[in-house]
Amino acid sequence: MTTRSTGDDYLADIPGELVIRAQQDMDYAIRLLDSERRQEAIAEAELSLSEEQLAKLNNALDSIAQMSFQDVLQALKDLSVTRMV
Amino acid sequence: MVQAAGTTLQCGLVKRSDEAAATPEDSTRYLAELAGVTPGDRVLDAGCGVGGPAMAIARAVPDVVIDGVTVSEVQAKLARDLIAEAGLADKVRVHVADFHRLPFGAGSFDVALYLEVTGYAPDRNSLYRESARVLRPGGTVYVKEVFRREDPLTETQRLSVADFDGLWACRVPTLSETIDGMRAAGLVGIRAREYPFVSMEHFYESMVSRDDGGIRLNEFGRAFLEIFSDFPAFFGEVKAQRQA
Repeated sequence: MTTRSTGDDYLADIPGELVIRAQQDMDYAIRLLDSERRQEAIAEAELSLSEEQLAKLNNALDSIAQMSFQDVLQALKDLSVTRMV
Repeated sequence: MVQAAGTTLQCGLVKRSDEAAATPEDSTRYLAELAGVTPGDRVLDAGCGVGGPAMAIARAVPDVVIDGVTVSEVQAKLARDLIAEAGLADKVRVHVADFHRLPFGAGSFDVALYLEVTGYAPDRNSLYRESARVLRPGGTVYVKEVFRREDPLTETQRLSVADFDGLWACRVPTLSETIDGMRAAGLVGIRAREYPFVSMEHFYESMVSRDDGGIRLNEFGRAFLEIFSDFPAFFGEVKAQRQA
């Protein structure tokens, strides 16, 4: 019931802390893809990111958000994000 | 839900080929072909929702008359409004009824369609008995469904199925129980297969809204989004006839 697996180049620019948080809470993962709620979601993780890291993170999340939602879900599944909490 | 998903709410849109378009309208037309709907047929759309598939068939096949059945007064009202708006009221009628006890006489229909709805039937044997009753001799019952893989399932798969059933308030059928139900109802010529080309893109896309490069779950997505880690299911069809 899922389609192709997406490439994972963009994943390298997403800090592991965010991935872990997203794995525990799909709603959080979706918030990261929402342009209006993303910065708040990143701030919640209390990471200290350089401007360059933040720009790369935003680019990575933009890349995911531009995919079809089915591919977004496959990407989340690849990260073991499977449940809303 | 209609705002998000349109008038056809099905998880999977069946396609003619991998490259074919996957719009609800195209998919329904193709399903009507697979079911053998021909000009002039009287067609039952059991579990018609808000009428999207019935309207698509009415547009595509000349002189068909379609009776849609839903248990929901809300769906029926919306369906009737949409059908009237589309100028199809002379071809598509909607009835509020339980599809285990259809308000039609024996032998009323040429084709009975069940498009992703049999999972909602608490008594599928009775569903197919009723289907056989309302079909004319030689008439066709056509089921397009999300089918659960046959046992044995792993524990993860079993839990995924339970989650899916809970989320959608259904009990996803297996192919074998569908075939057995049809056989018990006296239907003959039973053929089943997994569809080779199905797209779920429309279904998933209907769960989100997009703006400014961002993606956001809408009300439908918030209510129904779940990713199943190992969901043992496939999209398939079962087709059978009432004995001629």
